[in-house]
Amino acid sequence: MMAMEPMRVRRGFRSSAWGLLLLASLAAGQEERQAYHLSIPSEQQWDTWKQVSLLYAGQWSYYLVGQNENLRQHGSFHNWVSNPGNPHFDKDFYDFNLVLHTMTGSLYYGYYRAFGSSRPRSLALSTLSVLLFEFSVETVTERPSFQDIYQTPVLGAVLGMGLEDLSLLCLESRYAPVRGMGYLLNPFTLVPGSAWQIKLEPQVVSESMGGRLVASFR
Amino acid sequence: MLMVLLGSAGAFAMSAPDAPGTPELGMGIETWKDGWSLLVGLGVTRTRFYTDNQNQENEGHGPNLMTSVGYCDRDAYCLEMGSIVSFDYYSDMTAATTNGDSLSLDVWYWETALFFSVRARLPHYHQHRQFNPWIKLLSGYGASVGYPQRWPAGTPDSLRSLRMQTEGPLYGLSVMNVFNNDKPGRVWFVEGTAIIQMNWNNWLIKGGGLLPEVAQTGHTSGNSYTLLLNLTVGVRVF
Repeated sequence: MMAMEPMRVRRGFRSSAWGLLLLASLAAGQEERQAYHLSIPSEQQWDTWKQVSLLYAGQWSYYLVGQNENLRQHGSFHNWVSNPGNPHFDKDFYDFNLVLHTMTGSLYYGYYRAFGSSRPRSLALSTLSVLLFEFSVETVTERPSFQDIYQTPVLGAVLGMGLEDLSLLCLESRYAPVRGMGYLLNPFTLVPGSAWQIKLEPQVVSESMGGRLVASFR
Repeated sequence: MLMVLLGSAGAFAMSAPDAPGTPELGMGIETWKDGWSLLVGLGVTRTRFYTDNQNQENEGHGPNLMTSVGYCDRDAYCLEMGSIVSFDYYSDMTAATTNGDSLSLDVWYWETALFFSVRARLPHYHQHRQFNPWIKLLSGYGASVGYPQRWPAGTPDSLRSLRMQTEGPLYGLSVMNVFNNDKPGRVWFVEGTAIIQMNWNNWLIKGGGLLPEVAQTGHTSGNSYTLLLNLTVGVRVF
């Protein structure tokens, strides 16, 4: 393991060192806190609708495939038409309402963050997606739930932000398993073209060489 | 887990959040400002449950999670939607069975309060260092779901799989002090909230299926209620 002190001394390195640098960089950590930058590139509204529509298609796909049994037993066109006007406090178990919905909400939040949205904007778009799901997808089998409408995006965003921060903290580690955990906590860092940019920055510092991972958010 | 997540909020202590191209602060802001806000806190709840005929009082206690999303304006007030979710343990609650027997049960209650609220700086009071008090009036709807523990021996499985849900409107008042409101440092707060939740409707819910199944529906005469006192410590996330 190479001891890294980034940004202090930079020296030129020989081309033959690149292979070593790349290998070493896998095990090298990031010593200083990295800013992850936020710049919403004057996003057109059309892009936002494309993002929302893509997730909406995903929600339908999940419901048709993942809730097959539920749809067969409780689904009907009549429900789909009548349930949206009849929201209620649901009677679900807490593991469903608090755990599964929060995890789903954090995925929605992470999804919109991966497109470069700010935190408030990601929460707002997650809420829109939850409303679409509650009032036009899940209504095939159930009435919309007030708890889900509030808790899925809000608790999901809180969890999503926590996972984001924890992920970046892990990505700073010099230990490969911890960095692996960083990718696991925020898998959107691995999505090509995502706003999260994890770059390898080769470095030679004093008498050691290696690299570091730099996390940025465009 | 949430404690860990909240704890991680201090990981990226940077300034100038929000402006494009500038660093974000990890899960928190450094100065109170107008605009959209998200508050998150953890705390403890103390409850007192009164039955329909006021014959029975039971006290519960447990942890709570508070969230609040809203819009703040003029450095004076915020319009918010919020929730307080608590898990409260009640000892020796008396439950009547359909055949006239009564059972003494310990019950875990999962209590969810959803509400709209108006938060305002304490009128006629100027901020003074760390003393920046706000008050909040709230109104909404709440559900309490009871999971009986410690069933007497011989209780049939069909009864053990049931949970109780009561619902009704709620009203409340909270007092909050914001720290680091007027000087650099992560904005955090301590909030005490008192809520009265009416228990108007009740259900017995049977679990285990794809969807929850209502085994019994009932209404109270409107006199049953629960008092909830919540003390929460939290941060303003954005």
